[in-house]
Amino acid sequence: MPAILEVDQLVKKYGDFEAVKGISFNVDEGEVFGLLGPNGAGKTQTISMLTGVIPPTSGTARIAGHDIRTEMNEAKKINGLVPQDLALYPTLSARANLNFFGRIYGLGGKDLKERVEDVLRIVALTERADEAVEKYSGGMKRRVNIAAGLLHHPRLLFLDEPTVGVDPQSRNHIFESVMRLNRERGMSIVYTSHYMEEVELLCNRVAIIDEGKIIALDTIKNLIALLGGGVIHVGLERVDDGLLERLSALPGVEEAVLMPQPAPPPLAEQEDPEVKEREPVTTTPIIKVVAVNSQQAIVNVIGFLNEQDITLTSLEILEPNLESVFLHLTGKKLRE
Amino acid sequence: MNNIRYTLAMAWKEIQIFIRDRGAMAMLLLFPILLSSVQGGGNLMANQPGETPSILLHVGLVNEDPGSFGSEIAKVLQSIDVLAVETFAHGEEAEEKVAKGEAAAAILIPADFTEKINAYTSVSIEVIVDPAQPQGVSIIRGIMNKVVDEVTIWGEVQYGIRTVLDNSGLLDGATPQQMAAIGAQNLGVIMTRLNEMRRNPAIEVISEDMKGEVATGGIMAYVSYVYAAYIVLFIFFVVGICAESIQDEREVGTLRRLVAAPIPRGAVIGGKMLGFMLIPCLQAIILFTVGNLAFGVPLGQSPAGLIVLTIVAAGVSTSLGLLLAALVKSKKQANDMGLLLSFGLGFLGGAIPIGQLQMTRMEGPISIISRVVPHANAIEAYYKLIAENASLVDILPEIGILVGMMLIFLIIAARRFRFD
Ligand SMILES: Nc1ncnc2c1ncn2[C@@H]1O[C@H](COP(=O)(O)OP(=O)(O)OP(=O)(O)O)[C@@H](O)[C@H]1O
Ligand SMILES: [Mg+2]
Repeated sequence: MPAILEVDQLVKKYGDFEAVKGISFNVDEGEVFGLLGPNGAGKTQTISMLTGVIPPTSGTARIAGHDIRTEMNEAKKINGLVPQDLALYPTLSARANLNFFGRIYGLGGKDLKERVEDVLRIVALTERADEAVEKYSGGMKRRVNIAAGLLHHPRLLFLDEPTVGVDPQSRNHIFESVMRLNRERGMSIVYTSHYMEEVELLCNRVAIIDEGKIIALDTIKNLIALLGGGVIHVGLERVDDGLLERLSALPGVEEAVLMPQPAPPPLAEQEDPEVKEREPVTTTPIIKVVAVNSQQAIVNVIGFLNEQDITLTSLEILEPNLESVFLHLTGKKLRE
Repeated sequence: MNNIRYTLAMAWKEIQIFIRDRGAMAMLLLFPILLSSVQGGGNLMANQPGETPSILLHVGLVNEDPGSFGSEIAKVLQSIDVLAVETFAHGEEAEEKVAKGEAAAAILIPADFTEKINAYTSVSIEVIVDPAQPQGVSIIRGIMNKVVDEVTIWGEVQYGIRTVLDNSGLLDGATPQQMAAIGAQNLGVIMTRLNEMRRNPAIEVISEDMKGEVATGGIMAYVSYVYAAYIVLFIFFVVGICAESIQDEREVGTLRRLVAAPIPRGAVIGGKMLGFMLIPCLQAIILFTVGNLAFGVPLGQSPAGLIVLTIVAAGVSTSLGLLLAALVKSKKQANDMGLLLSFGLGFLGGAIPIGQLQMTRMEGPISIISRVVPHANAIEAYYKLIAENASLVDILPEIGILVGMMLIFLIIAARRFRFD
């Protein structure tokens, strides 16, 4: 399949701060591609560059072959953007908003009218389309926000966290619309989220992005396979010399490594009684055991530690999902 | 061609939003109507300050009213040159003066005077006269009617604005910022009105009566100036509103959505500007229509001049709004700075008429310095058109200055403008 989007070493800098640190990926025509990452990872910044809202500091991308540095206007006709913010005029009705954004995409007359009705149908808001947007629920506003990005029949749609602040019903509705747009209209979609369930449900391939860099990019199946036979986090009261090597040598274990310790919180926070209560500062080391076969590995690791008279303080078997992949790759939780 | 369509779509969207924003509507359209009618009425009653009449009448004044209207009347009476006002604490003392023939009249302002005006009930001032001084009696009666008229009109203005706004529901949707802006706008005009009461005390009318002639040209020249000044003041109220609206789009994210569409950024800004230019144009049409029909404000001989000037002035005002939008970081800042600019520049450019003349016609360097402020140029051009029957060609110097200012504002705005 030909790539509709080819991103090539995209960088965005603000002074010394690098929000996006050289990102590259391709999206195939007809694909639903996920950008998964925690808050501040650089997802919105990446999308903003690809849609011409902000210029890249360096690097480029091609959208259906159009270079965004030289042919942004052509690229914009292929792109559709559903921004993370509710970018609507609250005092105007949904229909008036859509009419306006349609005109901005060069639509007019009968064509505009038909398309507005069409997108209203897609997001199931035909009946209340003449009410002011400010009177809508959060979920309905989100749906209008999506509808506004569909008017010009984009071939490539960027959906930036389209389910934030949405009730489960609207959320399911949004999922369904996204799947239908992809299947029935062949729309390629870049779907941004920090909810791994959404990405697992909707996307073929996923780029996991953290601190402005892509740290993994593959199909969901392959990403989960990064966990191998399973990953186990074992908390210990102490780590003796040579312990890691001996754990790694146990049958069923591929390797055992010490997890990076979380930096101690700043002093002021430590003294805050509330913070202490909520999250006691753990100083006990945690060892990550990557298993070939997780059941065998657990039995052997626990048996070995008993022999050595080392007390377990915690034991966590990571679920085979993207959340675990993220934890495995970064040592951080996706959502803190 | 397409760019024109995008620009028009932007402008139309702006109008749709404006129509739904009742607070802004009240502020920008209803206020000019209300205030111009009051202002026009007030001004027609006053004449230009003329020579001081030579008659001197002694009057005794007793002001029992602790409120502002009583003291306002006392001030006005004291400022009238033909009257020698002596104040007393008690009614009897003043009456005694009249009885002795030492004063032509005793004027008693009752204790509940302000209260009653505020409550919008009728109120009277007692004037005790000496029948032995018949010509004095008629003069004092005239003066008192005039003074009371002015004060009650003032009371009516405040009362009227309050009720109209309360009852219309126009302010239901207004934000606290808009309410504050309306209050400030209101205050500006009331202040001006106060100043005028001090400057054009009712005595001018009296002296006029005694001479039996009215210098029509003089009155109309002054009225023309005041009208031109107010129109310009109102035209520049759109600065803050325009800037606030752009900052709002920035914060909400609609500006980013527009930038992601395949339209030039110039069309986004141009549409915004065009939409907001319509508001001052509407204000000018309303003010001129009301002024002309109700108070005979002249419209001059050059409709083309009025149209071109109004469009150019509206362009300067909105481009200043764009410039402000390029600099501010929050909506509150846009609103505050907008008000400051509207009143500040309005004051510096003579759009708050405290003098008898526009700044451009005052003596000394002020006539040249004032040209730096867009308001002064716009007022001068309006004045030339309506009071001096100038043509479009005659006001080209002012138009040129204004277009220059607009270009400067637009160039700086374009350089500093942020879309995200
Ligand atoms: N105008 C700006 N100036 C400086 N830094 C910025 C600017 N815009 C964004 N950033 C920084 O860039 C980084 C990436 O931001 P971005 O909005 O792309 O994150 P995100 O992945 O979309 O996060 P979220 O899930 O919260 O939306 C953040 O650290 C943010 O603070
Ligand atoms: Mg984001």
